[in-house]
Amino acid sequence: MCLRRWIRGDVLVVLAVLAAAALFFVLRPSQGAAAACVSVGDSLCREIPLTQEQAGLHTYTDEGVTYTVEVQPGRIRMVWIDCPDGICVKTGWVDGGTPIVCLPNRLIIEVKGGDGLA
Amino acid sequence: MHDGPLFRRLTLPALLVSLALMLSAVERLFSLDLLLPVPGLRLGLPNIVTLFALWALPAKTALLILVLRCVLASLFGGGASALIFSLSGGLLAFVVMWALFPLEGKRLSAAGISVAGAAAHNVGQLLAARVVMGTAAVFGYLPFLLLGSVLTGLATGAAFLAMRPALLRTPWMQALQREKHRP
Repeated sequence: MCLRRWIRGDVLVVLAVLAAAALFFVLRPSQGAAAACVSVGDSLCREIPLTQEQAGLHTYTDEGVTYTVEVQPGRIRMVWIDCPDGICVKTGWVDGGTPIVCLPNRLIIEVKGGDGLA
Repeated sequence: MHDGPLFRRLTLPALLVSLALMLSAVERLFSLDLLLPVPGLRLGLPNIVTLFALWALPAKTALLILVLRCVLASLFGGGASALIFSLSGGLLAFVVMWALFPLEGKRLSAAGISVAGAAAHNVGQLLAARVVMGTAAVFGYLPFLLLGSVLTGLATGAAFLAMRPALLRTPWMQALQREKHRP
C-alpha cells in the first residue's frame, strides 16, 4: 500500500477538521435548565423557574412540608427542610441529571431541561 | 470495447451505482453505537465509490452516480426521510470533494480529500436534521461526528489509495485515464 502519497495538505485538512470539532464543542448549545419541579408525595409539582429573576432563597410549604430552596440561573439546591437525615441538603446544587430527594418528607426536586453536564 | 463511450457512460456508472448501493447496505450492518450513540454515524463506505468516480470519470457522471445511489438506497429501504439526510450529506460531500480534487496528487492526497468529504457529509446531514427537527440542539453532535469523520475519511481514502495502483494496471482503467486527461 503506497502511503507515501501523504502530503502536507492532508495534515492541514485533518487539523482543520479537528479544530472545527474543538470549536463546536466549546460552542455547543447548552440547553439551559428551564425549571425545577418540586413534588411532595403524589401531588402535582410546583414549578420553580431557574432564572435570574427567581434567584435567591425561597420558602414554600407544600402538603404540609415547609422547605427552603436557593435558586440560581440553571440550578437549585435545598437549603433547609425539617428532616432527620438532611441528605437532601447535602446533595447541594443540581442542574439536570440528579434529583434532590427527601425520603422522610416524600419530596423530590427534579430539574427539567438541563443537560446535566456540569 | 473497454474504451468505448458506452462503457464509460453506461456500463461502468451502472456498475458503480450498484457497488455503492451494496456498500451502503453493508455498512448499515455495522452499528457504531458503541463508539458514539449518534444516529446516522456510518463508516462512509460508498464514499470510496465517489472518490473513484471523481478520479476516473467526468464530474457530472460522478454526481449522477451519487444521486442515483441515494435515491435507490432510499427506495430499497429507508424511505423518504432517509433520502433527505442521504442527499444533503452526499451532495455537500460531493461538492467539497469535487472542489478539492484538482489538488489531488499535488497538495492533497485522496486521504485528505476523503476526510474533508466525510466531514462535509456529516455537516450536511446535521443541517438537514436541524431543519427536520426544528432545533439547533442537534449541533451538539457535531464535534463527535467531526472526530469520527477524520477516522472514517482516512479509512475510506486509504482504501481507495490502496486500490488505485492495481486498477491502473488494467487496460480498461488506462483507457479511462487517457480519456479523462485528453486535452
